[in-house]
Amino acid sequence: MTLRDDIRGGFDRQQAKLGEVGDARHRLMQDGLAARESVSRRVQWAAGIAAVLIAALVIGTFALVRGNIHPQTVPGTTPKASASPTPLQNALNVSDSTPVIVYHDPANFDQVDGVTWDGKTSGRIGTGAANGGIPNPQGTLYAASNEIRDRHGAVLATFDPINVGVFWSDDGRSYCSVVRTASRDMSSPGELQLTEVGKSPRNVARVGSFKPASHDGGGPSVVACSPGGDRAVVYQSGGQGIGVMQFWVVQLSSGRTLWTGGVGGYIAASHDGRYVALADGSGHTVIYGPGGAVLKRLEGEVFGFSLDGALVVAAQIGGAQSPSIVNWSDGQTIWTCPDSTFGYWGSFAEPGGSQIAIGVLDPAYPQTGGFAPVDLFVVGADGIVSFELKDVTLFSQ
Amino acid sequence: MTAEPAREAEQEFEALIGPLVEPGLRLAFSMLGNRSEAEDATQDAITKAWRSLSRLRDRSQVRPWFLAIVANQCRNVRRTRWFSTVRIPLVFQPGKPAESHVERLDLERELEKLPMADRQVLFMRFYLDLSVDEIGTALGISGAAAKGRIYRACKRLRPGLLEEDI
Repeated sequence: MTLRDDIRGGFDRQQAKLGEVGDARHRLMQDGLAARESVSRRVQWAAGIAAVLIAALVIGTFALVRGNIHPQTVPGTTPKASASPTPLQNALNVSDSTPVIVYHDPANFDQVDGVTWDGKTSGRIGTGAANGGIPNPQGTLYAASNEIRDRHGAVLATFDPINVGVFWSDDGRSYCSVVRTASRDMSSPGELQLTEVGKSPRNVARVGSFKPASHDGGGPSVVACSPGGDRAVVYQSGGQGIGVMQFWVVQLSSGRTLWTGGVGGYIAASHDGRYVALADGSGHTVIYGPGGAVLKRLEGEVFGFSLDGALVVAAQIGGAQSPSIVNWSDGQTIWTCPDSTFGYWGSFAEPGGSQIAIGVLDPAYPQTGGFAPVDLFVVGADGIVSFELKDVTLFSQ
Repeated sequence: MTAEPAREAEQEFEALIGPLVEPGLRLAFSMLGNRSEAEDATQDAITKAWRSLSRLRDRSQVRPWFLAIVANQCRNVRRTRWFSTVRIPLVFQPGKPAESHVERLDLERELEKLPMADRQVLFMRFYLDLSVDEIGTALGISGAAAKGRIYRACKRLRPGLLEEDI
């Protein structure tokens, strides 16, 4: 039995508790269509509850007025109001080119908020983020659905999200992707492309291979894209999209493979593609240099780099424990998560700076689906936390 | 819209979305752990899908597109479940332990302990058989990010996991 079989078996037993669903398709479809022109039941509920609350308010006010006229001998207790988070109302007041960390508003998931890397300015950027999105490192553009938008929501370009996986370049103006060279129902080599937003893609090199789309989750993916550094790092994953079978460091200008390596469990690369971190699947990571030489062996798994590549974000057991930031050259841990039981969720490098923003899963916040609310620590190269955001849901690259 | 074109539009919609109702319901149940809420979320997703179908430019993307709507509905249900504390779904609570099922129960406990987001990505990959790209589309993340989530979720389940074990 493989883990895949075990997981599937676990979900099978879970789904058995759902019971018979044979009738559900027709019933839900009919009810769903019947509701298309009407106000949803939830809105009706909300309206009903609002009516009750208004009535209670009126009665309460009436009672209060009467109470003031006829003072009570026994004072009533004052109910403690719990704070209710409200969405950020102020627009983000910085120039369009100022890098920001973007996140879903804690009180309105559909709203995109941003905070500058010094933590001093935050505000509302836009809406329409209910289904996620992939921001560039600067937070100035984001890919959502099949569109690339700017901070004002203006559509700058479109793309095919099924066949084009957007991986933003480190300068935020273009993106790399590996696309199929034949139809989705056939095996084919991958083609690394570099696309400047609003322009046609440029073919860079044939790299990796795709199996038919129905076959499995394998295929090549990009983990670094740097027109300035003239490199991209692409890896071929294993059968279920897990693991690293091989990776290639490709020169973007020529399409030449500079060096290649593998096999491993997880791969991360510095933003300029000079350094590659390959976890071996048993809790150790090797850092490779620009030409493929082994530079360092680290305990734990590496999930990201600072912009200059000097620092790495590491954690144990697939990110489940002890998120930390490490200077890989001397092995010094410069920051560790205050609670080692918090899991790693995601990280971002400060554009043009040395800070790292690292999101950790705080069990204090309820999970809400495919998007996890996290504690976000913004940590400098000296290991000092410049600011922290709580209960925010990040976008991910 | 007159009756005949309206009926044709409904039939086209049913042909497109109908096969996805059960996967949508199962996804909703895996997220909410409650059949009634899962049906509500799925039904609301169908209504929303009808209203926004014109925005679906590529019909080949209908599966991740619809499942994304379902997931979003579930997220809203959990966000607005203000009248009760958010509870851990009971769906993974094991039944009577038996010697021969110890490993199986261990895995179920580990699945139960996973963050919801990790469990969802495993459900999409290993139960609904969505491709990595489809998961990325459904969750609004890149394929590489989807792979990263699957990897981390598997490692959290089985810390000593090797690629060939999958």
